[in-house]
Amino acid sequence: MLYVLLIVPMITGILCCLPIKPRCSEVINMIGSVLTGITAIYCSIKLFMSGPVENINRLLIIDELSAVLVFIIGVVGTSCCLYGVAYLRQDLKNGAITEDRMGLFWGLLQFFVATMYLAVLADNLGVMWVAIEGTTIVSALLVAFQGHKAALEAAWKYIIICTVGIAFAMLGIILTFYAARGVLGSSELSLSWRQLYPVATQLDPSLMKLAFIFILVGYGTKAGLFPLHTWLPDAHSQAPSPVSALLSGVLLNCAIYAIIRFHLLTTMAVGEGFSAKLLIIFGLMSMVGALPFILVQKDIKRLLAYSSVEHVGIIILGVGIGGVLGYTGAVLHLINHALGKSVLFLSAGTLTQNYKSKLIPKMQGIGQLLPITSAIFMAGLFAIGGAPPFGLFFSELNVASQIFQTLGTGLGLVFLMVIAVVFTGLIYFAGKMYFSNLPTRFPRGEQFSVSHLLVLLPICLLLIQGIYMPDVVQQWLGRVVNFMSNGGIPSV
Amino acid sequence: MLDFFAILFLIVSLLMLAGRSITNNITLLCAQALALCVMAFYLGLATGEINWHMVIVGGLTFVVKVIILPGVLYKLVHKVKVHREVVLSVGVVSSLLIGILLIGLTYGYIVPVLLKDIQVGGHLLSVALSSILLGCFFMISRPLVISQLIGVVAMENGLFLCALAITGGMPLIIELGIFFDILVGALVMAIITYQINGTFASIDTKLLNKLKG
Repeated sequence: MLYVLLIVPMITGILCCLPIKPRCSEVINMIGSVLTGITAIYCSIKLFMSGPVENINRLLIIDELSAVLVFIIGVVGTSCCLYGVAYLRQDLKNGAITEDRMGLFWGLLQFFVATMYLAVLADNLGVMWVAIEGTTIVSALLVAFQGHKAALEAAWKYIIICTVGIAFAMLGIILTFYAARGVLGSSELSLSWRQLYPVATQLDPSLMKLAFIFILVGYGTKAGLFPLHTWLPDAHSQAPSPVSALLSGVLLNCAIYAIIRFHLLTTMAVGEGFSAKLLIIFGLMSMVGALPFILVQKDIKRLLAYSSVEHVGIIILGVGIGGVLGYTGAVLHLINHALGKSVLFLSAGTLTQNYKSKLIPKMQGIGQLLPITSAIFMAGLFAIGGAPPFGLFFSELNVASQIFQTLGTGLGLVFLMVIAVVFTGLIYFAGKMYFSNLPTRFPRGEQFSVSHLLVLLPICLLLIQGIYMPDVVQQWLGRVVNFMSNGGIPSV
Repeated sequence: MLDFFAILFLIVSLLMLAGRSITNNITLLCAQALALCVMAFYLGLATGEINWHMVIVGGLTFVVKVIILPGVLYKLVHKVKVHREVVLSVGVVSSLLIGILLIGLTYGYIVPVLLKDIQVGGHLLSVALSSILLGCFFMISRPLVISQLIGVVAMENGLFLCALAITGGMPLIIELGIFFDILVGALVMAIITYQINGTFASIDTKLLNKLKG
C-alpha cells in the first residue's frame, strides 16, 4: 500500500511532463493528486485503527510518527495541487506563464510530493537523506519557475545553502553508521530506524552527540531554524503560491520529522538532556529571531515565511522540552501549522495575483476586492496568530504549560511574549489590508467556487479541533505521544 | 598506497584554490574525482578477494564524477562564455594560506581532538575533512555562480571520501542514491546557472543581492 504513495505521484508527474495539451495535464494532475491524497489518509488512519504493524525488512515503513506526516502531506499536498489549477489559470491570464510550460509545472509538483512521501516513509536513514536532498533539487526548479531575476536569485540561494547544509547531515549519518556498525553489523539494516531504536542504548554516546550536532545543523538548515534560515523567506516569497504553501506546510515538517527521529535516537543513546537542550536553544532562538523581521515586513509572503520560522521554533521547542504536554503540543502544532499556513499562502497567492503586487501597502481593501478569499485569509491569520477557538491556540497552550512546568516562569513568559507580539504584528498588517478602501481601478466581488472549498476545509478542521476534539483523535494523538516518549518504539 | 592517493587528493583540492581560470578548476575537479575512483578500486581489488561493493562504487565514481559532471561543466562554461580569468575576492596567496591553515586545523585539532573516538589510521579521514572545508572556502571566496557549483561538487567528493574513511563505504543502496542526487543536483544547478546567465547577462553572485529583510 505504501508503495502506491510513491508510484502514483511519480506516474502522474511523468504523464504531466509528456507533451500533451495543457488541459489534459491539468486533469491528470487533479486525478493523480486526489488518488494520492485518499491513499495517504487511508494509510495513516489504517495504522491508527489497527495495532502496530510488524514489517521488518521493508524499505518503507509507517509508524505512529510517520503516519502523522503522511496525513499532513496527504491533506496539504492534495489541496495545494488542486488549488494550483485555479492559480495557474489566473497566471496564464495575467501572462506570467506560457501554456506550454504548464505541464512541466504539474510534473515537478508531483515529483516534489513524491520525494516528500519517500522522506517520511523511508525506514533507512540514508534513503531519507537522499529523499530530502531530492526535495531540495525538485523544489529549487519550482522556486525558479517564473524565471525572473528575484526567483532565480531565491532558487540559487536555496539550492546552494540547503545542499551544503544537508552535506553536514550526511556527516552525521556517517557517524551514526560508524557507531551502529559495532552493534548491528555493516549490512543495510544497520541504518534502519526500526533496528536502531531497540539497540540505541548500546551506541557510543560521544559519537552520537557529535552526530546529532551535525544532523541538527544539516536538517536544521532545511527546517529553517533561526541562524540557518536565510534561504527560507527568499524561496517562500518568490515561489508560485501553491509551491510556497507546500514548502512551508509540508517540506519544513519533513525536515523537522528527521530531527525528531534523531532526537529520539540520541536521547536514548546519550541520556536525557543533551539533544533536548540543543533543541530548546534553537527553538527559542528561531522564535525570538524571527520576531523583528515579522514586525517590519512589507512583503506579505515574506511575512508569512518569517512566521513559519517562528512556528518551526515553537515545534522544535515543544519536542525539546518533551513530556506529555510538550510532545502533544508539538505534534498538534505540526499538523495545525501545516493546515493554517498552507491556507494562508494559497489565499495570499490569489490576493497578490489580483493586486499584481506582494507589498502590503499596495494591497488595500482586500475585503472589497475578494470578499470570500479575504475572509478566509483573515481567518487563517487569526488561526496562525494563535487566537482561540482555532486549534493552534491549544497546541501553543500545551507547549506553554510544559515550559512553565519544566523551564520555569522566566522562559515561559518570554515564550508567551513572543507569541503575543507576533500576533499583534500579524493583526496590525491584516487590519491595514482589510480595513482600508479599495482603489477604484479594481473590479469588486467574486463568485464562490470549488477552489474556495479547498482552503475552507483546512480552516474548518482547525476550528472544529479547537472547539471539540473527538475521543478517537485524542486516543490517536496519545499513541503518537506514547511512541515518542518510549523513544521510537511502538507501544503495544 | 592509499595514503599516497589521499595526499594527491588533498594537493589537488588545495591547488583549486590557486587556480584563477574556471576551466583549470574543472580539470582539477576531474583529477580529484579520479583520485577518489582509484582509491575505491584499490580498496575493492587490493585484498585477495574482490570487494564488489567498492568496485561498483569506483566504477560509478568514474562514470558520474570523472566523465559526466566535468563534461556538463565544460559545456556550461562554453555556453555562458565566462571570462577565463576570474577576479578573486580573496587573492591567490592569501587563499592558499587560508587553505593551508584549514588543513592544519583538521590535522591538529578536528581529527585528534574532536573526533578522537573514531579510530581510523592513515591520512584518509584528515584528508577528507580538510577537503570538505577547502570546498566550503572555495565556494565562499569565489564570486561566480559556476565556481559555487564546482565548490559543491568538491565538497561532495570530500564527503564521499569521509564515508570511505570512517565506515569503508555506506550501504550500496544509499551510495546509489547519493550518486543519483549529485548527478541530478548538479544538472539542476547547471540549468539554473544557465537561466541566471540568460536573465542577468552575467553569472556574478554579487548581482544576486536584491532579496533582503
